[in-house]
Amino acid sequence: MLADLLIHPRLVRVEVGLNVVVGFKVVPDETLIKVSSGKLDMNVAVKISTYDKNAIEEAVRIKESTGGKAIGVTVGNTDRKTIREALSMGVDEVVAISTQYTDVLGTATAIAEEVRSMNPDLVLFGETTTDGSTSGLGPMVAEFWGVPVITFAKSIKLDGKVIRAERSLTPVVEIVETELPTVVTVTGEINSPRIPTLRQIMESSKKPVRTKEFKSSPMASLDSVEPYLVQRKRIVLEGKTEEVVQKLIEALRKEGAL
Amino acid sequence: MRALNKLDEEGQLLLGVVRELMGKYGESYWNKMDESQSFPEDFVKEFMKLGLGAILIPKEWGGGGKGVREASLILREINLLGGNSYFVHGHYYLTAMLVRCAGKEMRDWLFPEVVQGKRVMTLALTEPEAGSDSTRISTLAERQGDRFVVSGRKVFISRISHTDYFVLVARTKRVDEVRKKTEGVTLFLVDANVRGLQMRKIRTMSNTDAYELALDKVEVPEDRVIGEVDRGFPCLLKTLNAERVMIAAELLGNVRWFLEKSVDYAKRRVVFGRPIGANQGVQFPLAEVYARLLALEELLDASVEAVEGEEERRAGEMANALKYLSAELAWDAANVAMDVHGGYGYASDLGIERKLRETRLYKVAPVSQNLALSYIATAVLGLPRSY
Repeated sequence: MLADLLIHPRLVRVEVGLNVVVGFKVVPDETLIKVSSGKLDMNVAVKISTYDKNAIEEAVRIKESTGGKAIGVTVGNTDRKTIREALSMGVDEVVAISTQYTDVLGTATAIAEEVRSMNPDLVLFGETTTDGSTSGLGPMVAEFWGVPVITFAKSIKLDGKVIRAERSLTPVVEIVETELPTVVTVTGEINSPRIPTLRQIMESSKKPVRTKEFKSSPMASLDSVEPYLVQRKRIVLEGKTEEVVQKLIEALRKEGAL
Repeated sequence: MRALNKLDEEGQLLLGVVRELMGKYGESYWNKMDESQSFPEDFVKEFMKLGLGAILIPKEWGGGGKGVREASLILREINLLGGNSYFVHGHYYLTAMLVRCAGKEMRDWLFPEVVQGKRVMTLALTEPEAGSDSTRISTLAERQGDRFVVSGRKVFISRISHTDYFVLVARTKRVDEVRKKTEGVTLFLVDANVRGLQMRKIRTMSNTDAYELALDKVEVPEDRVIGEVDRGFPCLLKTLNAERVMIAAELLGNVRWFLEKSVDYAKRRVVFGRPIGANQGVQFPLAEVYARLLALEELLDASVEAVEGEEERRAGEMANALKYLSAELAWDAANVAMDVHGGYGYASDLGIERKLRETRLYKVAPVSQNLALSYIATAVLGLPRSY
C-alpha cells in the first residue's frame, strides 16, 4: 500500500471541499415562444437556460465528488420556482440578484461582486444563454475577478488545484490546463443534467435563497426584439425511399447545406 | 387553465420533472412499445425512481403529500407529450385509495415501501360475469383462522405482471347473505407473486398489458385487509370517482395532443395550392374540438375539488360528467386528427392511429359511457333505475 503511494504520488492527493459557484439565468422557454401578427409573444413560462443546466450539473458533480459546496448565482428574473429547480438539482444555496434590464456587462459586474466576496475555487457558466446568446459572461467575470477563463469546455478534470479541460472548437478539440481559481464555461456535451427527484424537490424548500438588488446603467440598450422568420421551401420529394434519399442529398447540396 | 394555475410551486416542479422524463421517452418509444405490445418498463422504472409514484403518500411517511390535482395533471402531461399514462395511472388511483382507507398498521409498513418505489398498480375487480355490476362479483374470501382463503376468476386485470402488490376485491359474504348488495365486499392488498394465482394475457386493441386471473385458494393474511372486513365498497366507490377524474385528465391530454398535431399539419400540408387548414371543412372540426376542450379543462378543476371534498353525491356527479364528456371529446378529436392527416394518420409512423386506439378504451373503461350517464340520470336527476 505504502509502495503504491510512493510510486503514484497523485493517489494521495485528495480533492477536498472544492467550492463552486455556478451562474444560471432564468429565461423565457424558447420552445413556447410563438410569432403572432409579426410579433414575438414572449409572455411564456420561464426556465433555466439550457446550457446553464449543464453548468449546474457539473457544479453538483464536483461538489459531490469533493465534498465541497455548490452555490448558484442568478441575475435578472428571480422566479422562485426556477430557482427551486436549481436547488432541487443539488445546488446548496442561491444568491438571487434582481435587477431591471441589464446588459451582459451589468450581469458580469453583479456576479463578479458576489464571486469576489465568496472567493470560490471554480466558477461555472453555460457556454451561452438561450436568450442573449453573447457567450461573453464567463470571460467578463474572469476578467473582473482576475483569473483565467476556459470557454466551451466539453469535459473537465480536476487534480488538486489543477484543472484540465477539453475545449470543443468544431472541428478541433483543444486541451488546456490551468490552476484554480478559474472560470469555465461548459457546452451541452459535458454531461446530461439530472432530473430532480420528488425528495430533492421537497428538500429544496429548506435551502437558503439570499435575495439582493443590483442597479446598473446598461452600456447597451435593448431597443426591440423582432422575429427572424425563415420561409420554408415546401419541396416534397416523392418516390421510393432509396431514390428519394439520393434526390434529397442532391437538393441539399444545391442549397449549400451539405 | 385553472387546474394548472392552482398548482403550487412543488406541483409545478413535478410537472417539470415529467416533461424532462418525457424528453427521454418520446413518441417513437411509445410507438415501439405499442408495436411490440410491450410494457414500458424502462419508463415506469424511471418514473418510480424519480419519486413520481410517491406523490400521493403523506409527507409523514416520506411521500409528497399531494392530491388528485397533481396526479391528474401529471397523467395529462404524459399524454399530451405523446405517451400513454395508462401504465402508471393505476398506481395513482390505488395509492389514493390506500391513503384514504388503509389502517395505521398497513400505512406504517406499506407507505415507506411505496416511497422506495414499490408498485401498487393493479385493481382486480372485474369478473367474467360481473363488469359494470360490480356488487355481483363472486370471488369469495373465506376466513380460516388468521387468514382469508380466496378463490374466483377476474378478467381485464391490468399491469399485474409488473406490479408488486395488487388490490383484490372479493366477497366475504355472499350477495344473498346481505341486506344491501354493497355490503359484504372486502378489499385485500395481495402480493403479485402469491401462490395460487394464475394469469393469462389478453390481447387487446391497444397496448394494455391486461390479464385474466384464476385465484385458486389464494391465502391472504388478515392484516392485508384494506380498511374493514365487509365494508370495502364505499372505499372502492370513492376511489373510482378519483380514478374517473384522473382518466378524464389523461383524455384531455390526448385531446391537446391530437389538436396540436392536427393544427400543425393543417397549416403545413398544401393541397390544390393552399394549406388544407384554409378549408372550413378542416378548420371547423378543429375549432369545435378546441372550444369543447376549453370547457372541459375548466370542468376538470371543479371535478378535482369535488372528489377531494367530502360530499359524495357531488363527487360522483362531477366525476361521471367529466369522464363521460372527456371520453366523447377525446374520441371525436382522435377521429378529426385521422381525417386531417389522411393516409398519414392511418399509417403507424405518426402515432395518430395508436393514440386513437388508446383513446377508444375509455369509452368502455373504467366505466362504460352508458353507466356514467345512468349514474347522472338516476343518482343526480332522480329518474327511476332500469336495473
